[in-house]
Amino acid sequence: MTGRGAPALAALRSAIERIGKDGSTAPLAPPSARAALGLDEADKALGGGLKRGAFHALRPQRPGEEPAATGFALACALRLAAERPLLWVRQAMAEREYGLPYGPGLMGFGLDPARLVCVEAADARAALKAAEEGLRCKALGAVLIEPWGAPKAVDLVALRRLVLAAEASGVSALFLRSGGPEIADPGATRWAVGAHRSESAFGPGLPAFRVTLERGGHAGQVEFVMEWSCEQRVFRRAAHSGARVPLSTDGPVETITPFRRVG
Amino acid sequence: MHVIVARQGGGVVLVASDEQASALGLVPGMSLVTARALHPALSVHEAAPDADRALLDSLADAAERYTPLVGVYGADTLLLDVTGAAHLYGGEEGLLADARTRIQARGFHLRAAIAGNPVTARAVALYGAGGIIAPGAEADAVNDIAVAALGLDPARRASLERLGLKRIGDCINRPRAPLAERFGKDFIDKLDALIGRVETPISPRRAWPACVAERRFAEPIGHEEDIRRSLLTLAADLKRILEKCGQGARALELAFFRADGATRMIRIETGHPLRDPQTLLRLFREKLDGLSDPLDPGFGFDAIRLSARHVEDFTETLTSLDAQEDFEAELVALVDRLAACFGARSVQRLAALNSHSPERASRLIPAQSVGALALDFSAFAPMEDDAPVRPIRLIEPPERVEVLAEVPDGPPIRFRWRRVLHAVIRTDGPERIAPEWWRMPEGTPTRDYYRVEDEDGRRFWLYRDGLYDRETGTPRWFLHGLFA
Repeated sequence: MTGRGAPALAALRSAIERIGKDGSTAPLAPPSARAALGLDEADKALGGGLKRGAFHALRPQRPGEEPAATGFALACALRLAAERPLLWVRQAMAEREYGLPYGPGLMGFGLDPARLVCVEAADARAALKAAEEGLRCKALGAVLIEPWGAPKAVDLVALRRLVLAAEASGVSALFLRSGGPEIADPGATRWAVGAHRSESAFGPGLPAFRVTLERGGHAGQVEFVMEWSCEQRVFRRAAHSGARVPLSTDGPVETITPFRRVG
Repeated sequence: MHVIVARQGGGVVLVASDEQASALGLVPGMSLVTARALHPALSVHEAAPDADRALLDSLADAAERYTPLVGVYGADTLLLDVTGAAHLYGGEEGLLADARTRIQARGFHLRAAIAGNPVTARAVALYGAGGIIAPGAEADAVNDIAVAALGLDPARRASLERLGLKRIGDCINRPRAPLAERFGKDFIDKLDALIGRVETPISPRRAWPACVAERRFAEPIGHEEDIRRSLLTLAADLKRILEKCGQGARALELAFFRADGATRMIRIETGHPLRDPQTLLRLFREKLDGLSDPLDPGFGFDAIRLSARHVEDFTETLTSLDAQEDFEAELVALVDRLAACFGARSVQRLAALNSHSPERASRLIPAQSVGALALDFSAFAPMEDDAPVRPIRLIEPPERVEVLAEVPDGPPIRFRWRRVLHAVIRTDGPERIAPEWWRMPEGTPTRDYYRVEDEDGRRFWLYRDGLYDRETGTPRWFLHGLFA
């Protein structure tokens, strides 16, 4: 072996070691232009998957479906980011409403908190600024932005800046709005996300979503129903969840008193 | 004619008086009643020690233009270690003249002295004629100064004066043993310090920075471009110094000295040792852009100092084939930029804490201070097709919900949260989580957690507070988290 071959071989070896379970070789190879979600119909409608280095807007379909929308956005971020770290920009107000990012839960969802950096922005302007800074950093895979309500600062010009930053760096932007009136957004896609019932026979199953692609790709008012495999980190057709045994820690219920109000 | 008064003991006494008042014999220590009786037209002001201290501190900030080592003594004295600084002003006379001009421009009267040790300088400035005392000339310089300069307690001072020892010179040439016997060993020590026989360090307000780079301008600069360029040279200077000692900066301070005496300090902290000038500059730019009251050059800055306040060993990262490492460095740089811009507390990471208590198991902490803290949540890693057992968001503190359950210790079948009624169609639980008795007060109830799903597929994490019958008769329910 020549002197030159050795480092090249070492690099190759480490590249092979990096190939993840899902076949991604990131971050060594530049990720492909699109990230397949995993659900064939959806990927077909998107022309192969979600575009990387682009701006994707999301909103909950109905009030009370914000956690589902957050889950779907995080799942998309994981698909887009391959193995790279994520930046989650929240607004302080949103925390009071929907709680704080929770490490054990995110880990169980498939997002290892070791890959996550959070920014708690005081207001929408700060959130946009932090997001733009993140989108300029090539080391990131995706930036999730959650502004609160419908602040004035979020206008077409501000969002356009995010689009440009995302396009220049290849980092994907996921913009999740909770409520507020519709505004024009310059994104590649727009999604309306709802929660979907579990298919499992026992307790709640894997995260499941009903999503409508409202813009981008072959947008039509078609609804996709998909389940998120937390372990494989890929979307798939719902109804995959196997039956599971509930984790009862106490003995069987002995006394039965019909309908009694407590609490 | 103005005097400052303060409440002392039972009455109100003068603590300071202006020149006119002093000339009329209204001296500190006199009671206000007496002063008023002598001169009814007196203008009286109440003492404001906090404001005095703040003012002295701002003067100390301004004095940092001469040296980073500035100490504040008492209510009206600044001690500066000007070792090696005088040449910038064409010698000690120049430095003293510069200080005098600047302080007079701000409306103060200055008594100043430069000497080989701080005790002599202070005594000559306060009790003597001031000026510059050459090394070896200390004893001569303090010869005529009143013994009050020794800072003795009133009893000893009075007995010194009774013996006719009024000036320092009277004491210096006396035999020392009897003096030590009569007035104590510390009296001799003070005397020796005064004439420079022993070294006395000054205790500065802040430690000497690890590395300092400084630029002074004959013509004050104010244009953004000029400032940017000088910051870049400063950062490059600092880099050379840091390189020499193999270190990088973790905490930096940028001090802007305005020609009119105003001083502004900007501080940043970094997540890892840094020395790259461009990176440093970018961090300071973020910080400057984010200031609520922006940097005002006024008529220009005549000196800028960049100091590394805290340094750590710098490990050279080789440009490797390994793209991963570059990414990590970039990520750390991003965290630093965001922290400079939005504050260190706003940029967070999730730390895993070893605790059974759900609210203690995970904590958002400033990303720059993660250090050795564990980010390892692998205990919660997803398993095959099992549903996640913990919510992605935790509602803290848990919110009270109204629950309808079939049996008091059974799962909920309906619940109301924030005025919305949810019909539960799937539940999993209970998962019993006992309080950490070594941390919680006695009697903290056990919690039975349920993962529930409503008819629209929304998923919640609820718990019943207290075991029915054993701990409570009417258990209360709380919502603690939301699943995706």
